Amino acid sequence: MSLVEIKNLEHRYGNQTVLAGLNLTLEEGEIIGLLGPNGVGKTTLMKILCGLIQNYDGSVLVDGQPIGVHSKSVISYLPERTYFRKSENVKSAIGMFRDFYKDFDEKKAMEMAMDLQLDSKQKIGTMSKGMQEKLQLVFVMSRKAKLFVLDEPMGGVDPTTRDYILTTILNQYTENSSILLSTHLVHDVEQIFDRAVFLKQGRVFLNEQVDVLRAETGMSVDQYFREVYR
Amino acid sequence: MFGKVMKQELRANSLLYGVASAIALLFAFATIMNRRAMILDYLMQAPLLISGCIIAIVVLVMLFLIHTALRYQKSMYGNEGYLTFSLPVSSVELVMGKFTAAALWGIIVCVLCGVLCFSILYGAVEPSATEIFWAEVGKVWAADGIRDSMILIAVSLTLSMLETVALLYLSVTLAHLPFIRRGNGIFALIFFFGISYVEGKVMEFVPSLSADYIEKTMTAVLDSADLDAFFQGIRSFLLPASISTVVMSVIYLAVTVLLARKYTSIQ
Repeated sequence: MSLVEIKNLEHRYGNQTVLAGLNLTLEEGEIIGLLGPNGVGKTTLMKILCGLIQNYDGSVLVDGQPIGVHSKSVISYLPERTYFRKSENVKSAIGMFRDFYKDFDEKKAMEMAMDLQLDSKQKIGTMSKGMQEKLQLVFVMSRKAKLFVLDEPMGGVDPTTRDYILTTILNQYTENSSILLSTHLVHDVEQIFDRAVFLKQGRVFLNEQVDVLRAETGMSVDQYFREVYR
Repeated sequence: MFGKVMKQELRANSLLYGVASAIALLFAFATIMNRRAMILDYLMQAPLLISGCIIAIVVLVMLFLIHTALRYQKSMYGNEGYLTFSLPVSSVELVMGKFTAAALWGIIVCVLCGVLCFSILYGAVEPSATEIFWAEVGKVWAADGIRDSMILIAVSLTLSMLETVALLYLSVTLAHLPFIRRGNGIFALIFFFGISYVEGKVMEFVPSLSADYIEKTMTAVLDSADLDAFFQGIRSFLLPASISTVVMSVIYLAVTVLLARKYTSIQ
């Protein structure tokens, strides 16, 4: 059984078709780069996987089940924006994750938060945007989820933070899980990908292992990306 | 998971309601403690404190309704919605957990309003008249019809507050349906007042809730100038009104859950 099985997925925003019969299968134990230009449907696809968009056509199975309580319990989702209440502090946010996710490693989250030199009683609203993003990543990666869905985790952050984010993702990744990561910074991230999925016109244009892709095209993923979307 | 949603929601609102409740109780306490003989200080302070209590009642109710709507909007369809909808929780647990937490705060607000009303009455009683006041309270409470009516009024006010919460939830959910891309707040208000209006019209079909029936009953009661008849008249339409409030709340919540399950689209 595949970790994710998507068949004929369609979604529209008003008259605009974003996903047009998308088919995709993802297996366990891979880091998958979900790539494509703006507006191609990467975020929409991730939102559908995580249960944030429910008005779609087609079939989406995660861990063998349709999107619902079970699929949400095996997916750890990092959206492109920060979602904590500003009045919440680190400790209460940890408490909330512990309450809702059985696979949440509270100790690990606390240690990683301390590495960021955060006070457990510090209000999230008093942190910089970059720090809030790091904290959110810490929480998301402190789960032992089957699938990590990371939407632009390095969007709009400085190179040091980018390094921190990449290191955190790699350190917390285990081979029992998969990571689906969308990014525009293909050059910076492609070394961690096992597989690249290119979206074009609401469909999967290419779904290939990066080693095979490099060997067949003689290009890096970044170069091929530029070629495809030129 | 229902309990966990409720716990999070109660915690998210605890500071605001804690402060508001403390201020309201302060007014109630000060009004009661201000009871003295008719000396100048009392005469100057009492109107201020009683006004404070009345303002506190209005502010508490408004704060509760506005905050409930905004909190629901933010936690479901604002940035927080990215977390809310990715939690391993069913739509029923999500909506009902939030509603139950709001209902608890609503009941606390109603109790506080009751305390403030009592403090307004009791604060206006001169210390020498305390015994007479309590004797009158005892007399009123001993009268079955009046006591039952008072309880019914309190219950029906609380139920209508909770129905308003259910309607707010439905209005906010409708205003965030996928085809509404902008002006969600305005649409939420339009849905809220629109549905309230339609509900009022539908209730006209219930014989004991029609405007004609209520007008006739109240006119007859006031003409007879009989207190028992007055409360009997009130009971004759408050009871069906309370039942219809519960029915409508259930309908609003069921539709909200259905829409949240089928048509959620976090933008």
